[in-house]
Amino acid sequence: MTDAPKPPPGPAESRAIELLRLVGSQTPAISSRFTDDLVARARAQRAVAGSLTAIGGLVAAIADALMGAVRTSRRDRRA
Amino acid sequence: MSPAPSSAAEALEDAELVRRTERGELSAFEQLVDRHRPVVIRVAARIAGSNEAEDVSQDAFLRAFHRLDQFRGDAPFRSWLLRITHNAALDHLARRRPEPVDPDALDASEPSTERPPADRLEVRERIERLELKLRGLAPQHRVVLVLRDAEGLSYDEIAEITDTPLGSVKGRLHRARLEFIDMLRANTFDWELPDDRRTQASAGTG
Repeated sequence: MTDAPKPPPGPAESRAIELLRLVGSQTPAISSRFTDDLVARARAQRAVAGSLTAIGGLVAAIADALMGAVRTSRRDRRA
Repeated sequence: MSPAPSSAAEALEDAELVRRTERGELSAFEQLVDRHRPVVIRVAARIAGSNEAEDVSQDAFLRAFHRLDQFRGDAPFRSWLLRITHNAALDHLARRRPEPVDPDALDASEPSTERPPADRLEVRERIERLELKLRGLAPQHRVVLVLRDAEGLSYDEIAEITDTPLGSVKGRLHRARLEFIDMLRANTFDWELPDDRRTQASAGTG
């Protein structure tokens, strides 16, 4: 641990820390649907990412096939 | 302050939940969210403002969700998640127009529509005034005060979250506290409120 001992804070610093701890003691209220909404967004984004990956794979496969066809065609013409 | 989920058992559970989420189990992600939501909300609120806390937290969790493969497990999941939250909150602040803080408004408290007990109301209003003061600090100073003094994180964890050398964290914290103290002195309302001991003592003599 690197939190080495150091001189205790002065009264002003102690008071500031005390007030900041008070701030940290309260969690702001949020929507009761926070987690549900978040998981729904995560699910939707994952589905979109999956679709894009699939489309990307399809496009790559088509490009490969086209390149292969072009190469074969050139070879045939040379022959 | 919430207990730090830094025990070995919880860290193991976090790692297991991360693995399950990566395998497609969204219920595992839901558990991660439920476990870390309070600290993420608090940090987002104190850096970006309470009104923005929900949006920033959603953004942070979604960023984490899509980057789970980058979580190596050499640091606690909470530190990794708070690093993402810190970055999301700062990005949010950068996108937003700078919000001038009126020093005269530091004493202002919004009228409450609810009627909780007087002491709870007083604490809540004091926290609102302190949050307003925090918003007047430079974001870098605000971040270290929130992580160290409000959330009680270690210097090591703050260095990890803010991607800052340890020595810089300590120096920044010192300067941030001085700036915050100056701000409190400029507005003596909270600074000079009697503490509990003095209140009890005066009640005892009355």
